Amino acid sequence: MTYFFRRLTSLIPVMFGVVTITFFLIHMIPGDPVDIMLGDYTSQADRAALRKELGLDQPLFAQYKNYLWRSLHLDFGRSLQSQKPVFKEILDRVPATFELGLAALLLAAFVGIPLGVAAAIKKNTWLDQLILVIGSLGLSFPSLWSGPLLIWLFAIELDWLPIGERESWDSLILPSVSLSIGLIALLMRMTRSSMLDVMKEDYMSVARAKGLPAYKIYFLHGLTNAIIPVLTLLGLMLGALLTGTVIVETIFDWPGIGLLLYQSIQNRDYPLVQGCVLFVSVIYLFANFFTDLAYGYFNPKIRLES
Amino acid sequence: MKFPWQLRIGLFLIGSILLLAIAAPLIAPFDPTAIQLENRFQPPGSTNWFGTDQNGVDVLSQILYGAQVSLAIALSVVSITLFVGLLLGSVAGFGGGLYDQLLMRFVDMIFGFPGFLLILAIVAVLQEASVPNMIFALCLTGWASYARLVRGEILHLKEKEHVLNALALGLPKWRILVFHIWPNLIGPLVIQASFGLAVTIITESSLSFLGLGVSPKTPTWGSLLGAGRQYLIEAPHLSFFPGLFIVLLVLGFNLLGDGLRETLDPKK
Repeated sequence: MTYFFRRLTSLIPVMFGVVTITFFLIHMIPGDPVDIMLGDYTSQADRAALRKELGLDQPLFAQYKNYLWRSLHLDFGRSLQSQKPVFKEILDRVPATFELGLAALLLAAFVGIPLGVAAAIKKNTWLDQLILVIGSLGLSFPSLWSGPLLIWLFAIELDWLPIGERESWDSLILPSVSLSIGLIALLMRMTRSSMLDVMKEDYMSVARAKGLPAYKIYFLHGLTNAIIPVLTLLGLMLGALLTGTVIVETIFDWPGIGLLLYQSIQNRDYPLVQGCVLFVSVIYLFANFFTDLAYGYFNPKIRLES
Repeated sequence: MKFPWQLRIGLFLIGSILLLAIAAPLIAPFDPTAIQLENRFQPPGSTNWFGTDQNGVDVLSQILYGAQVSLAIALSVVSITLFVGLLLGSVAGFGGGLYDQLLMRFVDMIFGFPGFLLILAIVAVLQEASVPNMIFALCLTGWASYARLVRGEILHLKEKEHVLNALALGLPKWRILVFHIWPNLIGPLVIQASFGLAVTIITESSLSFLGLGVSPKTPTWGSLLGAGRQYLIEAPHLSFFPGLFIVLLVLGFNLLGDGLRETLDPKK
C-alpha cells in the first residue's frame, strides 16, 4: 500500500510537467497563433473572439493558471473546426483506437511469446537463429512501410481484405498486423532472454528430474516465471502502440485518436492538437503506473527495495 | 578475432548506404528535381531502375539524394544528444546532490512522455518545416536516454579502484572524469548511439511521411513513401523502394548495435 502511494505521488510532478509542456505548445507557434489558425480572410471581430476564447488576451501567467484549472476539470476548450468540445471529440475516437491497440497487443502476445519460448528451448539451433533474424527484421520494419505493403498485397492485388476504415470486423486485420510487427519482435526477444535466465534455475532442473512432460516444464514452471520481466515491457510497448497508432491510423484511415491528431495538425486546429497530446500522454502515464504496480505485485523485492 | 555476423552485416548495410549517399551527385542517373510529366508512373525498367513518380521524376535519383538528408539529420541528432547527455549525465552521476535529483526527475518526466507525440506536436507547431527545426525537435527528448545511461555507469564506476585512487591522489575532478571515467563509457555509449540512430531514422521518416518533415522540395525517404501512398494502385513501386531503403538502413544500425553489444559486453 505504501508502495502504491509512493508511486502515485511520483506521478504528480510528471503529470504537472506534461500539462505545462502542452500549454506551451500553443506559445511555440512563431508569430500570432490566431493569424495562423484562421488564415488571412477573417474579420477583426472573429479574430478578437478567438483570441478571447483561447484566453490569449490575458497575461501569460493567468493563461497558465487557467489552463491548469480547466485541464483538471477535463475542459480542453473547443475544436476550431467542428466547434465541439475537444474532450468530446477525443472520447468519440477512443473506442476505435482501443480496439486497434488491443488487437495488436493480443496478436503480438500470441505470436511473440510462443516464438520466444521456442527460441529459448532450442537455443543455438537453426530455429533459434531463424527466430533471431526474424526478430531483427521485425524491429526494423516500421509500419510506415508495412502498412502500404499490406494494403497493396492484400487489399489491391489479392483483394482479400478491406483497407481499414473500420466498417466490418475484417477491416481490423491489416491495421493491427501492421501495428504489431515491431511488438512481436520485441516480445519475442524479451521472452527468449527471460526464458533463458529462468531455465538456469534449480526448480527447472527439479522439474526435469521429476520426469515431468516437456510442456509442463516449459510452460507451467518456465513461462510463468519468465513472464514477469516481460510484463514490464508492457508499459514500454504501450508507448510504442500509442505513437504507432498515429501512423497506422493515418495509413488505414482508421478513425481513432491518432487520425484525429493527424487531421487536427493538418487543419491547424491547435486546441484539438493540444487536447490529443495531453490525453494520450496521460493515458501513457497511467499505463506505466499500472505496469509498475503490477511489477511490484508480482515481484515483492522491487516493492520493498525502492 | 571473429566478429559476430550481426556486426558484419550491419556495417556492410550502413557502409553501402553511406557510400551511395556521398556519391549521389556522381552516380544518380537523373536530376532528382527534373519534372517530366510525360514520363509519369513509369514502372521500374532499364532507364529508370526504380521507376518514376507522379511528376515523372526518377525514383532512384530521389532515393540517393534523400539518403543524404536522412543520414545527415540522424547523425547530427545523435551526436548532439549524445554530447548533451554525456555532459548532463556526468555532472549528475559524479557530482550527485540536488542537481542529480532534479535532473533525474526531469529525465523521468521525458520518459513519461510518449516521445514521438511530443516531437510530432512541436514540429507541427513550428510551422516552417526545415532541417534545423527537425533536428531541434528530435534533440529535445533524445538526450535523456544518454544522460540516464551515463549517470548509471558513473555511479558504478565511482566505486572502482582506479577512480578512488585518482581521487585519493587529489587529481582535479574534471581530469578524473575525462581521463579515468569517460574512456570506460565508450562501449555502452556506442551501443546506445547505434540503436539511437535506428530510432531517429524511423522518427524522421515518420514525420516526413505525415508531411511534417523537411520541406517537400527536399525529398527524404519518408516523404517519398508518404507521397507514394496515394498511388498504391497505379504505382506500388513508389512505396516499395523508399521503404526498402529505410528498412535496410534501420536494420543495419540495429544489427550493428546487437553485434557491438555482443563484442563489447559479452556478459549480456
